[in-house]
This record gives sequence, C-alpha cells and structure tokens, in this order.
Amino acid sequence: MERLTSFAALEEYRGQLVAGRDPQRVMVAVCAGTGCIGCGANQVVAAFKKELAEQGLADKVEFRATGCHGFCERGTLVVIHPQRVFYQVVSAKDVPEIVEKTVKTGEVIDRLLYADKTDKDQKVLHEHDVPFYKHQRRLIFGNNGAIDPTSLDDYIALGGYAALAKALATMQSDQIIAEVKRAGLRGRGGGGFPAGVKWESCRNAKGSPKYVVCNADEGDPGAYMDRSLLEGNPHSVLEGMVIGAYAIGSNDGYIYVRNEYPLAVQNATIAIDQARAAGLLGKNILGTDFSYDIKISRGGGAFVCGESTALMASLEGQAGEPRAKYVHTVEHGLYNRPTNLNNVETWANVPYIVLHGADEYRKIGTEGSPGTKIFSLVGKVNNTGLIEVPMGITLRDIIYNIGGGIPKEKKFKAVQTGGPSGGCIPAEHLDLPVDFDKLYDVGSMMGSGGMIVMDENTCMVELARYFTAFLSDESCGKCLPCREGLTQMRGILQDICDGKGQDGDLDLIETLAGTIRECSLCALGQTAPNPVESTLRFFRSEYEAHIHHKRCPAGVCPPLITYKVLPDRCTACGACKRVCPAAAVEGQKKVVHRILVEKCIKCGQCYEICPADAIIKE
Amino acid sequence: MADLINLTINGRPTAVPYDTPLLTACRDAGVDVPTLCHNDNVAAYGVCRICSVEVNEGRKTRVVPSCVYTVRREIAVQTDSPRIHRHRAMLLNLLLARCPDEEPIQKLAAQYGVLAPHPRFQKKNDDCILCGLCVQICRDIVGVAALGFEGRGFERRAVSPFDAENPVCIACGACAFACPTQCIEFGEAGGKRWLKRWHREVDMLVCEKCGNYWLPDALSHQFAKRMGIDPASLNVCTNCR
Repeated sequence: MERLTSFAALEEYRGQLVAGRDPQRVMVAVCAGTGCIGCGANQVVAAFKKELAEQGLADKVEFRATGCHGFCERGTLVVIHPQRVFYQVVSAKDVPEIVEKTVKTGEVIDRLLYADKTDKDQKVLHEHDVPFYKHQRRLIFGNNGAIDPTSLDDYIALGGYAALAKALATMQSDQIIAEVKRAGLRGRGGGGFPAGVKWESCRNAKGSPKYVVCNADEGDPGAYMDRSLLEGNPHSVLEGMVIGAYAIGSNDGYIYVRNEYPLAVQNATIAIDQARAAGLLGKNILGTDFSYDIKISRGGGAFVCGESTALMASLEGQAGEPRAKYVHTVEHGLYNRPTNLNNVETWANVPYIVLHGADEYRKIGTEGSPGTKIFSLVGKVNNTGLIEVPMGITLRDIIYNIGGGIPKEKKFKAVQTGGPSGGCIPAEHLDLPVDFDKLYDVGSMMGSGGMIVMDENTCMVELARYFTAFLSDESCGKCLPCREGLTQMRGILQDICDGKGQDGDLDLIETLAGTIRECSLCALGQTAPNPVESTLRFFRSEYEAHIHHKRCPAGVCPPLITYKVLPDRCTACGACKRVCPAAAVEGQKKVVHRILVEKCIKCGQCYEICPADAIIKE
Repeated sequence: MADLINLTINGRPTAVPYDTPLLTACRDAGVDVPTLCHNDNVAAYGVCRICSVEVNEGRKTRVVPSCVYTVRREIAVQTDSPRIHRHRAMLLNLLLARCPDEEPIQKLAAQYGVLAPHPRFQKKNDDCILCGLCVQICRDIVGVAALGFEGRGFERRAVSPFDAENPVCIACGACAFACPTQCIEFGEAGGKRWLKRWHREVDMLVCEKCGNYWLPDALSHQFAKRMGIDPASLNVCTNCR
C-alpha cells in the first residue's frame, strides 16, 4: 500500500476500505490461534480455501484465518458472519458441509453447534449467546476474531490507528499522559503499577535516547494472554506503543518476545513491516516530525527474563539476571537510559483509552482497577480458554458462568491466580471481586492473568511443592534467599509429600518463607513463597494430615495412599487386573479381586478404569 | 556539594549527600553492618543480602539490602532490629547449609546464634558462597573478564568459560585475594603458577640476571600491552633492574 503521509490520508484510506466492504456479505472466520492450530485449524483453513475455490465462491464469500477467539476447549472454532453462527470442534471433513449448507443457503448444521455440558439438547446458535462469551467484556480481545492478523487493512477498517492519529493531531504529550493517568490504567504484567505515572517519570527522566519497550516474555505455565494478543492483533500493540513513545518522547523501542512463540514473532514482524511501509511506524509517522521504530528481540526462554531488569539485561546481550531496582528503570533502564516497559496487554489498552477517553474507560471495572483483564482460565473447569472480563467480576462468575463449573460435578477446592507465584484462593472467597488490590488482600496476586482451577482431587501440599520446584528451577541463582531458600523449601515440601514430614516443619517453612519474601532481590523471589504461604493459610489441615497422620486427604501423594477393592462392589470383571502394569491385582472370574499392597506401584490405573467404582484410595 | 538528606540510623540523626549508598551512610555513622559480597572497589552487587536493614520511608517499613539501596529521601533505618536479626540468622543458616566448613561463615553465623545448619536443610558442602567478587574484580579491576557464571538457581557456579582453562586469564591472583572464603586455590612452584579452580596453569618468567622466577608470562604480556612498554623490559626482575 501507499505510504500515508497525513491524518486525512489515513481517514480517506479507511473510508475506501469500509466502502469496499459489504457488512452483509458472508464472511467465514476460522480461529487459527495456537490452541486451534493444535486442534487442526490449519487443515480447516486449507479445506475452506479449497472448497470455496472449487465452488466458485472465492470472490463472493470473504474468508479469514483469524487470531485466537478464546474458547480453546472447543477448537477448531468457525464463525459465519454476518449472523455470527458459531460452530465448534470443527474438523476439515466438516468443511464441505459447512460451505454447502451454511455458507450457501444459511442452513444451520445442528451437530456443530455448542451445547452446554449440563443440557445437551439446548443448542446455542450465535457466538454472543454462548455462555462462555456472554458474560465477558471483550474490549481488547474482541477484534481477534474479526481480523486477519497479517492484514493491516482489516485493522484499519475496524478503526485501527485512529487513536494514534487523534493523539498525534490533537493531543500534547502531557495531555496523553494525563488521560492515561486519569483512566487509571495499571500495568497488566503483574505489578499493577499505574502506567500513566510510569510514563510521566520516564518522560521527566534525564537522559537520551529513551526507550519504550514491550514485554512479551510471558512465561507462566498455562498462560497465553499476551501470546494470543500479539498473534491475533499485533497492530493494536504497536499502536499503543507508538502512542506511548510519542507521549514519553522516545524514538526507539523493542518487543521482547519469547522465541517459543513462533507465530507471535512472525505476526509481529509482519505487522511492523506493514506499519513501517504505511507510514504508521518509523520515520515521520503520518507525515508528522515524530519518528519511532520498533525492533523485535527474541528471548531465550528463561522465566526470570519477564522481570523488567532481567529483560533489559537480556536485551543488552547479557545474561538475563535482575538487578536491584531502587533506582527505577524509567531513570536507568536499557543501556542505562530511561526506559519505559509495559507488557503486551497494557499496550493494547492504550488505543481504546486515547480514542474513547478516560471517562469512558473508567466506566468499566472498579475504582482502583479500571478496565478489563484477560485471564487464561485453565485447570479443572469445563470451559478452558482465554477470557476477558471487567475488573471486579467475582471468581464465582468466572468459574461457574464463564467457565461452566467443575467437570464431573466435582467440588471446587481452590483457584490459583497470578501464575506460579500466585496464591491459592479457597471456596470461601469465591465471591471476591477480582482486581489488583482484592487479590493481594487474600494473599494472591493478579500476576499476568493465569487462573488455574482446582477440584477436590488436588492435593494442596503437592501443588505447593510443584510450584516451589518450578520457581527454584527458574531462579537465576543470583541472590542467596531465592537460590538456597527455595531449594531447601522444595526439599522439605518433597519430604512432606513423601510422608517424611517432621514436627516443626511448618514453623520452619513459615520462617523461611518470610526471609525469601523480604530479602530476595527481584519479584520472582519476593513472590515465590505465595503458593506455600497461601495454602498454609487456607489448607493447613492438609499439611498436618501429611505430617502427623501420614495421610494425603486428596488422595494424590503416592507414598501416602493405598488402593483397595471394596469387595461388595467388585463385579470381578477383571478390568483392573488387565490394566495393572505391576501384576499387583489378584483375582479370577467370579471371584472378588484384591490389590497386593507390596506389589502396587500406585499408578492409579485400576482406580481410573474400574467400571463399578469398586476401587478406593485410602 | 549536593543537598544533604536527613536520616536516622538506629534512632540517631545524621545526614548524607543525595544517592549515598545506605551501607556507606551506616558505616560513616559508625554503625557496623555485616556484609559478605561487598567490596568497596567494585559496584555493589547485592546478592548475599546479609547487609539487609529495615527502612521506614514514611508509610511502611521494608527490608532492603543497604549496599544497593541509596538514600534519596528522609528515612529511618534500623540495622539490627529483631526482624533483621531473624532474617540474617535464616540467611546464614542457608549459607551454612551450603558451605558448612567455611570459617568466615561459621563465625558470622555464630554471632547470630546459628551454630549449625538446620537439620532439615540439605547440606551442599560447597566452598563458594557465590558472592561474585572473583568475577567482578577480574572484569572491572583487572580488566580481563576471564570468569563468569554458569547454570542457574541452585546449580549456579562461578567458573572459567566452559569450566576449562581460559587463555585470557593472566594468573594475577586478584580473584584469590578477593575471595571471602578463600576457595580459589592459588600456588606457585617449579616455574609454574596455577589457579586450580579455573584449571589455569602458566609459566613463570625467569629473570635474565638473577635467574629467579618473578612474573607469570601471561601477566607480563598484559602489562606490556596495557602500559605500552617493551615486553623485553620485563625480562629482568625489579631487584636486578
């Protein structure tokens, strides 16, 4: 496309795009986010292209392979516009039928529609009526399903870069900062620091050049919010960064993205090239004398590099290790220059705030945490996927209305928010409104938005052990409390899970946790005790059962459980005997089976397979 | 002269220039703060956390390492409160589990009532506390940068690259002198000088006049290069010159 050299040129170009697009035209949107690609989305996309071409519909029907729609549990997802007919669990073999019926005649294919797990006959026709989507507020994430991430035109047609034009044409940099401050935008990467205040400090800091950087080093297990945004709507992130750079007075920037996110790297690279060619990035943006360019830097995969100072060290080509932050990175950051770092989601919020104003933004969310937050809802919940909800929504709404509750009617036990170093929140706090401060009050944190749901079969001691082990593996080892403390903590927790816990262990863990929290160098160590401390606070009796009674109440820790056959329930079907890898089941036809404790390796396969629920864990 | 910032250390008022490291402020005020990874001649690294103190910045009190925290506003500092005492005791306990046989650690730990590592802690029986002084001094003072770290977390080690002999090392021995636990073995005999930990062994230069060994060969090259003198002038020892 031609380079846009004025605000008018952008609006004119947008006008042409919109005029050339008939909103009533049939449009097929296939989710080609990473989750759906795992379910075969690439084959679905190929099948659609082939089928539409063969049927001679390629010109009449618009087709888009979009970014992640969020409902990853039911991939591959297909939405047929303009009616927004929502098909789920679509595979390539369904495509000819979809084209033949829905695309050509509007006939709906019943079997591909969504039905709630509780009521299989109640089918839902439209995307916006699916309970998973109905309770969301998709302010930032909504366009993911509507645009092809590799198409700048798609983004511009939906109003893209209008916020940038507004900022450059009508606002002074301090006005933008004031607006972002008034909007109360808080950093979505975990800390929740007010973005406007950070921008202002960076603007006022002495030194040049200044850098404006995007943190896309999302490393929490099970979390992929930033990944999906950068993959599905990279221009929204770029637009936010350019506005930020203009406000702060920076001409250089980086996106630090994990190398394990190949699609995010690819789509961000394409978007940068497109924006540069269109005059929306690089020299003299939109014909003004403001210039700002972005380079992509790929991370090597260390979790700690999500920490701002470690990220900057890594960007400089040094080992990714954090340093003390008593002098903030807005003063001395990358190459010791003033640097403003925000994460992907924070940047993606900026265009909305600039375009619609702080007042409009503040209507969403809570007083202390305005706006929405994207969470990755995973674990023991029916509808796993990415959700965007207004701040202040309760955990109950998220888990039961959006998430559809716990599979197999099991009991909810806890939800862990904030990634590996978040805390576990028990059922008694299900009505807690989710925002930065409320989560902190119950010993957890927002983090970057991981949300792991646990049911009654989760052992909280084992869980604490798992996350402590993860964090001690990911500790860079620079400071003593994190390096030595987490390792010792992990050892004690392992002992407790193995039935070797001792009197006094809990006191020792608590003292140790206090030192790790208060003395560690960076946020990794400072928050690492959260899983242990929060489970000790809410599930202390489970620890005590492990230590004093050598019992795992959730029936998880292998050394503390035995499998037993209930003789009155056993039908002597032999399923357990066949599946046992250790030949630990004794029994024959019509004779009640028995598990030989000395041979049993506690793999649990008999328990899983028994059709009569005759095997129990003790 | 920059403006002075007022602060109190253990209740006693004092004042220091803006951005003074808190550790310096404490020591200048005659208050002893223990350290293990600190060396005045290199930038504060802030990893042993033994120098942690309690700082009240107005609203709340937090624990900060005094070596990397700089004074920028009025604060009240407590260097040996029960909270600090508890943290130091735990840090030394952890360090003692890592290095049970190192005398400087044993001595400092004893001051905090820790005579042996907690029986629940696994012992590592290492001799290095990972203060990083060898790496920093080699890079920032000697200007050679022959050392670095490898591994992460509990596996982190100070090593020569690939844990092999590094020809860049000039065998000056500065690392061995800086090491607080003296775990870098340094020796000289039979015309060789070695630093066992770094797998480094160099030939000694023989004085052309008296025939004594006097300077590692590798070091003489570095001297000549850095000072711009004729390498041949180092073939004679200082006594014979």
